[in-house]
Amino acid sequence: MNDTLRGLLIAGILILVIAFILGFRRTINEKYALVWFVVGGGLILFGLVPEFLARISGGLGFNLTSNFLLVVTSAFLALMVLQLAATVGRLEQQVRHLGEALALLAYEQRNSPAPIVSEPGDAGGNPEPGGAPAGGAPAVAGADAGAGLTSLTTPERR
Amino acid sequence: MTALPQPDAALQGTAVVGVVMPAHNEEATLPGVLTSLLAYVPADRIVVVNDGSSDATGAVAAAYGVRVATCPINLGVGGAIRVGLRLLLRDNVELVVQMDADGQHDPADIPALLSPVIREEADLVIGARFSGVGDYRVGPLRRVAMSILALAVRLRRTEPLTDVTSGFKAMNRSTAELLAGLLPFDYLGDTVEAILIVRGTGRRVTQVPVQMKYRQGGSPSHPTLRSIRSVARVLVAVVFIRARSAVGRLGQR
Repeated sequence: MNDTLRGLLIAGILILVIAFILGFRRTINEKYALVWFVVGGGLILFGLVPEFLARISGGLGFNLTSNFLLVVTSAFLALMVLQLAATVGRLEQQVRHLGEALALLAYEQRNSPAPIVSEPGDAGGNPEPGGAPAGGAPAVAGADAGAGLTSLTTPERR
Repeated sequence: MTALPQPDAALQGTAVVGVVMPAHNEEATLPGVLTSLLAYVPADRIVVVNDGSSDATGAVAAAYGVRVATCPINLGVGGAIRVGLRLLLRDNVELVVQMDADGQHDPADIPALLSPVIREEADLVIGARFSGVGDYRVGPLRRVAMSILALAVRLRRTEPLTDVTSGFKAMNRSTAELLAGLLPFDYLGDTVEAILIVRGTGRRVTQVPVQMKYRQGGSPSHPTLRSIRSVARVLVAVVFIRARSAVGRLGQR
């Protein structure tokens, strides 16, 4: 076994171990742990069965197997970055949206004598100021918790 | 399920029951579901969690006098259930039923579902769809996926659960408190992972056969292509949950 193959094996095992630890601690969620499990498993497979890697590489027209590995790695990393960028963009939007909803909720709580979540028994009969705009989006009149949020949620795409 | 139990009578005199119902764009099916559910549970103990719907789900539910919690963003089934559980747990509910808003679960099954919890034989009861009751059928692909999931959840010393992806459940207060803080957000997390989490804390999980109706409207929340990815994800999650419960670190989040 040459050094390159040993390197592949070690890298694969390292990735598996790190992905497992991060997933176990809930630092990364299962979706990303799964991706890295596949990567780690693939590296180990290639390290154990180098002919497999050489055949794919040759079949795709690469002169050097290492070039093939480099291209695949770059493509994978580029895809991961794009995927993470998309996720960050979505999270940013959600955080802003939550901030807006929270600001309105805090305003309503400060300016309303009624509690936001009413006691059981007066369900449906809790007039919420500003919670039911006439003729606007489908209003939830007297909906208990978060009635003030509906004006925010309904017109949005989600 | 031939003779329907008398409305209210089935649950009268027993413990205080609360119902949590996550709903994402279910305005078409909610009226039917709530109408039949209100025969069993009073309106102020039903919490419909409007999970960032773009239709009139919240308004439709509110028209029935039930409690409506609105998520400002789509949290997923697990997140919606957590919200509903926390709302219910503010009151003195002793038993919690979780059911879907799409009409596939029959409220007439609630007494049967609650019975093992009331008799203190189980902490979590799953309403199983393949137990010979009703005529619920699924495609071959889905069936294979469900068998894989059932196998992943199975423990050597316990009786096998035949339908681990059922969203029709009953639990006691202590289990509801556990899940209110630990229920995963992703698809299948509220079902497959929830069973493992509940078991991992030494609680008992059992199943009861229930009648399952086909969707009465709307569209299924998960197309087939994405469900393969979901199954793969939940299998990884199962590995992590088993590892965490093996070293007793399940309860940390």
